[in-house]
Amino acid sequence: MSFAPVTRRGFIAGCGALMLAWSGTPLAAAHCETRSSRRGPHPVPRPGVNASKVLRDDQLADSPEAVPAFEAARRIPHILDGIRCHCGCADLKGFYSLLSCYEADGMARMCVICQGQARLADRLFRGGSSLDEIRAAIDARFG
Amino acid sequence: MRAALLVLLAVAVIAPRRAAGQIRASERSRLSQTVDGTMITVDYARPRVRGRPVIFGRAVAWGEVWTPGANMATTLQTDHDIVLAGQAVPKGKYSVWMVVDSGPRWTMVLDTVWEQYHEDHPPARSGQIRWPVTATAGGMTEALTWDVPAVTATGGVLRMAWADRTVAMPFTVPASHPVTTDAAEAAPLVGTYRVTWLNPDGTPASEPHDQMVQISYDKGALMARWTPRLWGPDDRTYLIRLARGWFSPGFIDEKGALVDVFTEWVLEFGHGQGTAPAFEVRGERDVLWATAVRVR
Repeated sequence: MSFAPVTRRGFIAGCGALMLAWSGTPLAAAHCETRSSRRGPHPVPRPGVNASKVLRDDQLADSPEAVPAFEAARRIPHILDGIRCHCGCADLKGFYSLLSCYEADGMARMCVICQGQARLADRLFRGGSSLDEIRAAIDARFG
Repeated sequence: MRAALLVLLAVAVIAPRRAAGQIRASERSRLSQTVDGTMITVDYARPRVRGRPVIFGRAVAWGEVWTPGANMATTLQTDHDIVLAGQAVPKGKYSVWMVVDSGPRWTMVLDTVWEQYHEDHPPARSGQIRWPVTATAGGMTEALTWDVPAVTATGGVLRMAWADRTVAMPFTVPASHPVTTDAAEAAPLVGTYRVTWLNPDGTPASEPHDQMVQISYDKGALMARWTPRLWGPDDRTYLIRLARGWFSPGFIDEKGALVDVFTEWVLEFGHGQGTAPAFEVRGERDVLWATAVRVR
């Protein structure tokens, strides 16, 4: 059985089962803010920073699709603390780094950009990339 | 009693009327248009013809340095360098003036002193950009209007119309995602791949399936032909470079012009030596949507 979608909506519909399986498709997911034009310097990781303030899984009951990203944040808080978030939350009061998106009110619960950055950082870190390489990749992908 | 009357009088005099309401002969308006991350904003007042039989040549004298608006001079702001009607315009904020003429050749004036009154009529001076633009006669626009009647992936048309004159100025913006890719980086990617779309658990999805993508390199650009196609009028997409080995589909229209860069997806090729054996398609959450392996 083949498919011949002619529109973006048609393609999504054609992949119905697949798209539904992905909880919150990229097209329908909440964006914190449109990307781009939010470039700025990446922060310097704070010595001794850790994941103690990162929201726990039991605090993410309303955002199950965000759980893998929060797991990534718990694995590499020292990396996330050296990354500027490109979704716009970097301009919020009290924000320091991408790690901030995973603490307190945790914008990353709803924001696919926050989630994507952490998951990409985690994947690249596990692949041996340095912080600078991860920053460059995140700038290219989300900046 | 007298004191009470004085208080009432004072209140009547100094109390604000309606905070937001005020009738203006030329109401303020603002046009803002974003194209590929460049925002162009025109802030202006809208004079009306109001039954006057002749505007240009009488209300606005030929040869006058006129702001296409009213009251405070119209301003144009761009947050990136643009090319407007063939003239390079650095990012910034300008007051906008036009030297009107009975013929089609008008002069556009952008002055870096942007906060000016419409009667200031700035003389030629440093900090100004002056260049010829074309005015067309015909039609009737009651209230002066700035608009952008055409938008493309790379620019559009900025238009001013009032009374029986219109000035339409094509503009282009800097491309955030050039379509070109270096030949040395592109060569290892050229070939045909079979795409397998995945469920969240990593198992192959029941559909879509049997999708092939043929990647070619022509005129400095990587092009992917999807069979069956993704969406849009053409089965081809550009592969728009984000970083080394990372590309997003760039959808094209019937004429082959780039119309949409779908950065929600990234095709990731490996950085190995020789021809690329495979690539992955990742979504915005960096989830793995599909894998593709080279078949030719």
